[in-house]
Amino acid sequence: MSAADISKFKWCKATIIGLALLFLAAVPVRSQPAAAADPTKSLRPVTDEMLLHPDPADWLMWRRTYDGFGFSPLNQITRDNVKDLRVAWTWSLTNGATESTPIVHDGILYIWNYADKVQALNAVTGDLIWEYRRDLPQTIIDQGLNNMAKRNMAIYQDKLIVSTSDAHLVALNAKTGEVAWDHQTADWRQGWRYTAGPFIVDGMVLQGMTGCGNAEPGGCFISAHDVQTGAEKWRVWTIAHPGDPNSDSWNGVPLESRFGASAWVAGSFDPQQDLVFYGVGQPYPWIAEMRGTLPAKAAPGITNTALYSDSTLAIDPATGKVKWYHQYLQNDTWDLDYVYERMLIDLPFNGKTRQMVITTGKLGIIEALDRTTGEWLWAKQTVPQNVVAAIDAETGAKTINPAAIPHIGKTTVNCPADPGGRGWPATAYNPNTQTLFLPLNEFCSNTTPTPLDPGQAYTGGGRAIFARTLVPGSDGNVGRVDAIKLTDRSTTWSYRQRAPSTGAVLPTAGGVVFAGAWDRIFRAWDDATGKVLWQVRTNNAINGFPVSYSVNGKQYVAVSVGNGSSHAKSLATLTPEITVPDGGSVLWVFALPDTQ
Amino acid sequence: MRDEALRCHPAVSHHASGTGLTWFRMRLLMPCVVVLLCCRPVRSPAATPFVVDEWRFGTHETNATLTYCIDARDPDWPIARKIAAAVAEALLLQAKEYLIGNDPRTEDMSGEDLDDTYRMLIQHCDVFFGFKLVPDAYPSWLTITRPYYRSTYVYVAADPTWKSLADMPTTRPIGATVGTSADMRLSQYLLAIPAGKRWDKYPMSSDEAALRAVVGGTTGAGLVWAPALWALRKTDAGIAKLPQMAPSPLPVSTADVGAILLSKQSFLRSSIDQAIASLIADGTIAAILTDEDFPGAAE
Repeated sequence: MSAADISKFKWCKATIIGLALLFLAAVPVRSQPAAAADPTKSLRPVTDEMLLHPDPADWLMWRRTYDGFGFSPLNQITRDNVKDLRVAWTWSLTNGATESTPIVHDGILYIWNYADKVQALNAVTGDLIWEYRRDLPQTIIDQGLNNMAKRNMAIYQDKLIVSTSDAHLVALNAKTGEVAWDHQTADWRQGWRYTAGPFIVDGMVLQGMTGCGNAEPGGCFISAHDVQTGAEKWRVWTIAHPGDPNSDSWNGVPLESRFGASAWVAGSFDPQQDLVFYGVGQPYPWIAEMRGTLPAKAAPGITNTALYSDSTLAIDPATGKVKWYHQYLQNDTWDLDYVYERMLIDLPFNGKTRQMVITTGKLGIIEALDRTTGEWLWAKQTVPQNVVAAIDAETGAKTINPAAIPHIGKTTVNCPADPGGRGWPATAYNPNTQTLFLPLNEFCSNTTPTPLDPGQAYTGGGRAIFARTLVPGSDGNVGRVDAIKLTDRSTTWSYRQRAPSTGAVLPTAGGVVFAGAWDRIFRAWDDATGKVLWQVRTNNAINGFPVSYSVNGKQYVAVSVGNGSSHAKSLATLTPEITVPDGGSVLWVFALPDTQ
Repeated sequence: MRDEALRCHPAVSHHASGTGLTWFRMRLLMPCVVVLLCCRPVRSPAATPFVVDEWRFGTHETNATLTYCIDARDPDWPIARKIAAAVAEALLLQAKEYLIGNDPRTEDMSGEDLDDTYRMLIQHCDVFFGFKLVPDAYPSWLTITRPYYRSTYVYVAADPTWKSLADMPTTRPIGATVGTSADMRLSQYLLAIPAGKRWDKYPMSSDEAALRAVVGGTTGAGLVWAPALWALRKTDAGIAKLPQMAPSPLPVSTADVGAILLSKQSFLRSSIDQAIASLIADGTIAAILTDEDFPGAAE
């Protein structure tokens, strides 16, 4: 090699090394080799067919499927190997009420953070793909509390659709997080807000409004929106307005004096009937004597049932017309919502298979209707309650225990108390075993209607002191997870614990049920026996909706934890010895070791 | 600072049993008030509302200042503002006001429950003026001062010939601001009357809504807080024309108004109580009410 060649070689070597260093410096560092694959490259638009028949690997909507089961068909994690479950990755979330349900599609996990931050994460590694931060009014941020929590989001075509704390619906590009459209539904300054998320039906975005104890004329509504623009297509009022056939159900009080009936939980959809099912919350103020629906007015045609509070609405998604409704609790005077998930389950009843819609209200009473007609079919009680003295076996009409009705100037006892024998943490159903799993709590309330008039407008639901206590004769346990075989409505097992249940349940095809509690413990039970198979102590209260998904054949279980949910904080007053950190909202993701 | 605060306590205990403070005694107390203002109570997680990232809110570096909140959505806020300033002056502290609700940027209380007042008290002010004294209505982490005025709930009539509620036909409904102590007293009264012989009562979301329902003819009578009527009469001609009528057959409903503090601010509360007593005794508060033609009495 000549001197010139050597010189050329040195120049080339230096150039190559320099270019290599330059290249290394320019390429983003990825700590996990597996993360190198960018899941956005293989992200497919979500179709109607995908929503109707989701890939077992995905979790595409709040309760995963239109029937509201909240069940994962994945079975890699089983009763036998769940003991080996390990942390796959974690991701810190914004501190605050963390009631989130992840959406998972094609290896991307979308998670809602407190105060309207949405993130797309690599579902295998937890690496951030994109982030959307809502520019919220300072007022809403300062108010804080539960109002900036959201329980679910929706995904459709190339859009992730979210509801915001300032009462907007926003569509984000699922690959990039860029805003596709932003539609304001109501004025947050009047108290309107969203805590539930959207629900996709027939290519439309359906969304329930909450915050309607805040003196908005006419209460809340469920609205449908164009998925391409957000434009509103129809609106169903959840309080009967003048002109509605049930307008005379409010004891004669005018529309401007009817409050409440928030639709603060997402719905279910029966594609065969093309019918949507939404729950409606309680009337406001909670005490009937205060809101004018007690004493009952003696006038022909006037009732005091306060429709459509505490009801199921069966809605035609094409028109927004209510096909039928069923009210579970007339003239609710305890804040005992019947707003939660509606499950569409076909079960034998009196020798025939019936298409049912099943829900469980705060009373902890499971109730089934025929979802084609609204006919009431059956009920089963779970937690101790003293509000309902009897249920008519034919009609479902409830006889209320008069001793449990709050009265101005008195203190009465009602069980359960206002956070409910079950709250927003969802029940779930394993169709393979026809078993319903419920996160429950046992407690009561010494209820005293109380004037509270510092001089401002009525803007809340309270006006009563609910002094929560353990049930009479309690062994000190508050939290429960029950398994109910729905074919004969027998209790398969009931797991009782001191710590209140504060998270939803997740049954899987592996014969395992996951759920967590205020004491930061996330558990897995044998779904057949209730035996605890695995548990982990996380950093904060289990307070979200656990989901399961798989990527490249590997099954994961994800659950969000955090402090700040008003439901959990209310329950925590029963167990003051169990404390959790103020901060530390985190998404935990578990999987089996790779050797398995 | 700790020793200084401890030394102050016996004096407070002694004076608290008296009827009021002399200006001389209040001067002696002033250093103790300053010390207590600077020492924000330690939060008890089980007893106080949850505030996200509460560590963001440090101690109030107020020095010789009394920082107080006034809610501009309260009808009596101009009165509360003057009384608060007088209390600060009585304590020989510089008055520092945090006004809520007159500007969208500071309209930062949801009003849904008292939890919001906790954040206001740790973030913005030592004491929050304009709260009615309702027995057992306040959580244990809040305390309320002695009242600085007493006012009444009043009935307004759609028909000027009705001199009392008893004159109004039972075919006409009453619109009552929901959840007030007067509303609850009316509810109890109506419950004792047989169906068909009682008035219907409509719950109204606010005093203004109750008054507008009378103006609009939806109701025959409105039951509202007198200071709200006082405030709205200044700005609404229709409401200004509404005549008042006597509450009979019901008795007059009254409510006392004071200020709230965090319960652990017991020394500050005691000092403010004594300042209010002194301002009532020397006629300062009565003069404020009279100057504004306000429907209340200093007592």
